[in-house]
Amino acid sequence: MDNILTINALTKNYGRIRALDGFDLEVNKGVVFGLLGPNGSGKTTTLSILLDIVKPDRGSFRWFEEPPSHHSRKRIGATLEYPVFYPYLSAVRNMKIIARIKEKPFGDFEEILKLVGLYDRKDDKFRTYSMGMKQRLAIASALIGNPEVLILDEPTNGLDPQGIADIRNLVIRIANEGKTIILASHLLDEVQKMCSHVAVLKRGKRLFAGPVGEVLVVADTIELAAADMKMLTETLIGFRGVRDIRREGEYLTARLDKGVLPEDVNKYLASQGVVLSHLAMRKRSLEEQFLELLKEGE
Amino acid sequence: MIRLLKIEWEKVRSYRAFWVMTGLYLFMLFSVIFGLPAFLDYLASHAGNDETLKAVKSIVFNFPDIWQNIAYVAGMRGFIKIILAIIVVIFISNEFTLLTIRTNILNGMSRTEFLIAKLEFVFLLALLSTFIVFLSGLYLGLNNSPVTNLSAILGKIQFLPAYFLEVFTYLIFALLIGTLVKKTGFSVILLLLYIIIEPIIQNYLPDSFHKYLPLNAMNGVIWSGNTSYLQIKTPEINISLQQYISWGDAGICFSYAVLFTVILYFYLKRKDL
Ligand SMILES: Nc1ncnc2c1ncn2[C@@H]1O[C@H](COP(=O)(O)OP(=O)(O)OP(=O)(O)O)[C@@H](O)[C@H]1O
Ligand SMILES: [Mg+2]
Repeated sequence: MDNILTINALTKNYGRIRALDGFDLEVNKGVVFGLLGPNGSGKTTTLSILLDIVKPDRGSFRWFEEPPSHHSRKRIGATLEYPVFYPYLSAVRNMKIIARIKEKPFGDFEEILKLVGLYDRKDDKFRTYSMGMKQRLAIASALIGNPEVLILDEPTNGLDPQGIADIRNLVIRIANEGKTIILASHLLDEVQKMCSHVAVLKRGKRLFAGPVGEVLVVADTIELAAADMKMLTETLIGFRGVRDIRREGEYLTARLDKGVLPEDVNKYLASQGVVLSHLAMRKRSLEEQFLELLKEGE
Repeated sequence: MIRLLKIEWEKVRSYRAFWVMTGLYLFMLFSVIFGLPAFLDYLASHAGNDETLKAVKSIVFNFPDIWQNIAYVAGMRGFIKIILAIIVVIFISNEFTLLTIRTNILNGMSRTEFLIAKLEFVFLLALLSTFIVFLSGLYLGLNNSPVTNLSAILGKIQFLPAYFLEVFTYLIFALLIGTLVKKTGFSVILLLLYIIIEPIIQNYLPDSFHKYLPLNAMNGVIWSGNTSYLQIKTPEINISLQQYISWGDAGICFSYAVLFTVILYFYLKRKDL
């Protein structure tokens, strides 16, 4: 597969704070890559380094299998943190500056502005925009000149529900055209809906990376109870498919390894002569799963 | 080159503050240049002996001295050219305060290109200023100078490139302050304060060192006006007036232009934006 981006052991310190700590990543062509992590985990720092806004202390990266330069950045459309434009200029004037920097024609402005729903206000000054409109202009500016790669840092920040749905559909549509997209978010749900691959960041370190289907499936938890809780515990420890056995009130909880089903546990316990009085799956919300995922990386 | 200028042009073309300040600068420049002969006329009309004062006007605006006199007045330290420097300081520090430098860089401008764009921009401002001084000098000279032959007109024309060098260097200095300070208000204040600070520093330094201080260097290429009349008529008065542009003075000023540019280059190259 064609490699679009390779990151090698990036480290960045802000004084005492280590924002990035030996971060590695590979992104292939046509992938929608999610950078997932809680606030302050280093997502924006990573993207800033990739766009030459911030200089790393150590490590390197390559765009399009070339050493990074401003030429490679012209092939990338990006939004970073919050929208930054010349406040005294209109959307169109701001976009002209960007198109000139990227050496791209102005021809696609109308289409882009309609796409992000900003066409009616295109000639108003940026400073008169609402937060959501500013965010829409940021996305519009990233689309100028039909770039090969899109970098979106929290793209749905500040948008209303309609705006969020629009942007998500837009991202999915652009992805279907075969573009590569790198999306930073602290919302698991957003990453799950839009991304094919994900890297989970915490305190500047990569916890996991891989296809969304593999990384974001967190082991499920079961609750068990039996007349003899002590024997249940001892027997369960002998079973290879569970981890983290704990006593929680009147139940025992345990986490299932990947591919292990509750009935497998039941069968094993029965074969060892333990009869369960209670067996239940705990369904967790996505956010709980995310928190657990982060805990797992400790 | 042209691409970068077009980008800078898009940034200022509908920036009201820029045009207001530029308008103010041009107004001041014209007022000073054209106010001077009007002032002399005024003196002449109120003096009993009209003849002498009428003569003064043609002496100050005599070719070729007029180039030196007009360039000296337009380029005096802390005078009208400060407005041009304030425009530049606001223009560059805004890029840092508003964070728009990030938008420039992440979309594919290199950090070096960012610097080149700003240098081109201040080059054009300095050129515009020089051009106005040239046109005004030509107009005033042709109207007031007793001699208007070509060799007289071109006589001290080297004071124009010298004026350009002083203004250009001063505007690069403004770029440097705006970049290092970043906050628009503070950088304007520092630019103004420095006019007072440098003479204070100068007090503690030996005389021979004075001309190497930045502001002195940027105002030392043209350091006085002149008129051939004064020297002929009053040889007993011992005022030293500048006769020509010294390569040494121009060299010191130019060195500062290079030094400021080099600092800007390495600073922008390394810094987180
Ligand atoms: N300019 C800066 N100066 C000092 N510390 C900084 C700076 N920028 C970021 N940091 C620190 O670096 C760490 C990573 O920040 P970063 O902005 O990359 O996080 P993030 O993952 O984008 O978070 P969020 O979800 O809130 O956007 C944080 O601890 C932050 O405080
Ligand atoms: Mg962030």
